[in-house]
Amino acid sequence: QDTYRMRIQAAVPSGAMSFEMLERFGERLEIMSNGEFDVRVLPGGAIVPSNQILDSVSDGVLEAGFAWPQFWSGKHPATALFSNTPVWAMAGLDSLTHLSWMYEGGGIDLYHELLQDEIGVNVVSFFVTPSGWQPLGWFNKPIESMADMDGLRYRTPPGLVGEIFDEAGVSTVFIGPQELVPAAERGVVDAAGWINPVEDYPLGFHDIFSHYYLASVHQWTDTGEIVINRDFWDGLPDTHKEMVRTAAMATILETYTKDISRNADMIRRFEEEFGIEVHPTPADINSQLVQAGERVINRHAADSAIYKNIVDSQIEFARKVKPSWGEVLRAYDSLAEDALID
Amino acid sequence: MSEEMLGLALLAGLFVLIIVGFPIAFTLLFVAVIAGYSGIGMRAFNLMITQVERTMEMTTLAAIPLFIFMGLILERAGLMERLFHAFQLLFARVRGSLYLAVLSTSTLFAMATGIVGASVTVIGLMAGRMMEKSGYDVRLSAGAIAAGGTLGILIPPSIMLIVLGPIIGVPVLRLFAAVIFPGLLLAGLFIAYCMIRSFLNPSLGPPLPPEKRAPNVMFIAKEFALGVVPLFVVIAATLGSILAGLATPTEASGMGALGALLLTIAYRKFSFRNFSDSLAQTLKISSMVLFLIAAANYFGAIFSILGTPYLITDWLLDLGLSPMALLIVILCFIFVLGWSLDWAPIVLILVPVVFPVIQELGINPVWFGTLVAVCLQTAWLTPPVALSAYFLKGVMPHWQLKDIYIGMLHFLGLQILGLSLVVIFPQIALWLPSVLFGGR
Amino acid sequence: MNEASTGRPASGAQQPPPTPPILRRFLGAIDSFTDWTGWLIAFLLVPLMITVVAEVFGRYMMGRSLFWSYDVIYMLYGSLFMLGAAYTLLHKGHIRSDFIYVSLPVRWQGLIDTVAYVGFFFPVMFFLLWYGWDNFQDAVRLNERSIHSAWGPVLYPFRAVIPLAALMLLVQGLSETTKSLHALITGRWP
Ligand code: NA
Ligand code: NA
Repeated sequence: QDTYRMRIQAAVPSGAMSFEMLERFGERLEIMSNGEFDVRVLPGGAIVPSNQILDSVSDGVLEAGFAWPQFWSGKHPATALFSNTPVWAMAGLDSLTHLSWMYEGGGIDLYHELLQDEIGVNVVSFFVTPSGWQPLGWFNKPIESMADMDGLRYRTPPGLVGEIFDEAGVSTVFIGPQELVPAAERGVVDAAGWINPVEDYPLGFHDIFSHYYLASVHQWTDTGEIVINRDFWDGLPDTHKEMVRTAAMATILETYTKDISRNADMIRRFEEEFGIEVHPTPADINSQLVQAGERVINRHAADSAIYKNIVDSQIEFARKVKPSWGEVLRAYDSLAEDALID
Repeated sequence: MSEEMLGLALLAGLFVLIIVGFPIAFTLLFVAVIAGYSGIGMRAFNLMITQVERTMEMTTLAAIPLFIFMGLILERAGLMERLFHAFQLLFARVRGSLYLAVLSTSTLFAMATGIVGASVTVIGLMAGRMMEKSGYDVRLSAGAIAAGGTLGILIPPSIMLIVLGPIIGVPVLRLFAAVIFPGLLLAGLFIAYCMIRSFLNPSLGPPLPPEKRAPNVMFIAKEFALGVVPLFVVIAATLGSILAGLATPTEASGMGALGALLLTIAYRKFSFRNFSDSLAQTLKISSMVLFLIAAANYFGAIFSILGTPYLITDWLLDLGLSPMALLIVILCFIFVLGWSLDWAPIVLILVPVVFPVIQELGINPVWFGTLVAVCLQTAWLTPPVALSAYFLKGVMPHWQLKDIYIGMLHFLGLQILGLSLVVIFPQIALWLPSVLFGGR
Repeated sequence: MNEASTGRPASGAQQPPPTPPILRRFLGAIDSFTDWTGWLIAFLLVPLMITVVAEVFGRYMMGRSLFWSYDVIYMLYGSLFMLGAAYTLLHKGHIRSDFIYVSLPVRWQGLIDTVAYVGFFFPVMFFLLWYGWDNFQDAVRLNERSIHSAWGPVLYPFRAVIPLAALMLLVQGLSETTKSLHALITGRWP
């Protein structure tokens, strides 16, 4: 009887929620295959640094890896469009329609074309963790508009998100994850964006800052993927390939359900247990980020044919679904106003 | 041989080759290549490039060459010697006063930076020769510098704790708060040990002979005003800018290097010759330190990919021990692994595997994290991969490694004493976080 | 210039044969090449220091990070220590356990070093060169960019550092192996 050992190195620490999702993914494979899959999930940095996961899986150092497509944006900027795409003015995909575009609008095929032909890595990819919205982040004083961001040293993630904040005129500071906590504690930065409530908690930002601003359009979705070495994948029997596909689909759903519930719990904890003031991100900031996002995306699209193809595909898909799905969202939003809970 | 057993063979081979006297960085690379090739084939070479690249991109380590340069430029200008000499004048009658100076400086360094390499090399450069000249015992001096330097990875800020926090689900700042007292306790133990031993046996740290002492208080005051205060301002500004939140440690190291350069110009001690010699010496020392770190990273990655830690951990967890016994066995195991590995593979691979069991047994995660951190600090002091000793050897080449090892052994004992105290009195770790952040 | 020659005892009482001039010229050429390039590489610290200081001033004078500083800092620091490795090798900076080695006769030291260079050093550096070169070519092919900052500079010059450092180490390794063989055969360091 063949066994298939699969080492998956994640780009996250072992306490992260997406790590738990990966372990569940591994358990599913082991149970479905009656133990023929032997899956070991390794935390970020265990074997290779996060930004090297794609290369290491392609080379076969690891059978599989978990990260977000924007981690490969140094190899091609278009990878970010498959994960942490901003809501830019023309298309307006939310996290669910973005996922729908990937499965129904040809997104996954475009992604494989990008990985295998354009970047030239020997992998196949499965989307697994569509963690939804991302907060603007942690502040020491309330902000009401983009003008209040003036003169604040704000830590952003690099890549597309950093470009958008930069374009919007925010004084961005980039400090790597290892120096961020002491830097924030000692006031080297005045404000910081990290991931989301559940993942921000272990770093302890709530012990440093007093205000937390929620969903911001700089990044409306963040879909993690499992990349699998293609030779390893080709060596799997059809039954086992189907198990991987099935486990991935199950992980998507589980991430969605846990994400909504746990972030809500954590926001309540921030408020009630730690006295954090939680606010929505001011509309002015969101609208300026939308415009900045559009300018950045168009700039990239003008530089690269495949980037433009992907953007066009997203716009076309958004045009198709927006009338009906947008109507659902609007209807739901107005219902929520009169809902029984407060 | 199974891959996991290959990992054990890797450790054994390493011991032998390093003791024979092969250059350590190349031995680490070679042993990792052999074990890696036997385990995962040619992909071991891909992993080698990945790990070297990773070390090259660790911006926090850029502080190492800059701090070394700062130390060298001050040392060449004779300013460092003046500082420690003034300190000695002040404490002329006190036996072992330089131990006090070295260990206090190490503690201050530890509160400002999160890396070990900078502190050991800079303090080695600054104080090593002065201690030698004053007739201090080489072993105890080497031990104090090497062990004092490792406080940097424990006392916050510490990269190790930032990595550990999310793994055990404890907010990093609480972990920072928890290790402050254990860290200061260790610093205190180190200082007390050196001072008591020098008091009992003055040949370990002789007081300044009467003819070299200052004739009067005015002399000391003048020496302080002219020779010490400006230099002290530069060092205080460097470390202070970190503590005050003006700069990250990496940034402060650059400011310190520039400040030192300006100071030598102000003292008219600047010459191009000294400047370029300091640069060449900086290159040599930092290249040794960082190449060694890159090699240790690769070694750790091979060990991790072979899965050896899982084999041993599974075996440990199957023993069915009581919570306290298991905790102690785990700490012993971390200690032993720390002989050959640095903290990263242990924190990343071992801790996640044992942590669910720790949680199930109801052991406080903050306390557990503190114990792991104190235990891992010893990894820098234990051969064959005793990086702290090697860093010191790099700046004091004529000190025998044997003497450095023996000196460190004393401090290893103190470390184990400190660790035992935190095991017996968990409040040493738990009190401060509970005061700062409430009961949870 | 080679400070390693100090502290190594000359062997035997009888006058040893002099090092052949051609050998001396070969060693001199390699050693002075490494010395000279090392001296240049050491000056990378100056731009590193200036960049770090500029970043701090930038943040306080203009209230924002310099867009280029983060990448420039690790590129300079990473290049500094990798490219300096050959210079460190020449000046015996890569440390070793000394409790057995220093008390051995010169021939034995030569034997250990010859085994270390031929058996350990060359194979490892050869693979570092080979795989480092492949890695560099990938970066060129993709015009790979940094993802550490919004600036995203091209990475291939930085990726060239590993194969270059390996090459420099191999060259200096030739000189060191020759010296070890000399010690092994004649019982005397050249
Ligand atoms: Na520290
Ligand atoms: Na060790």
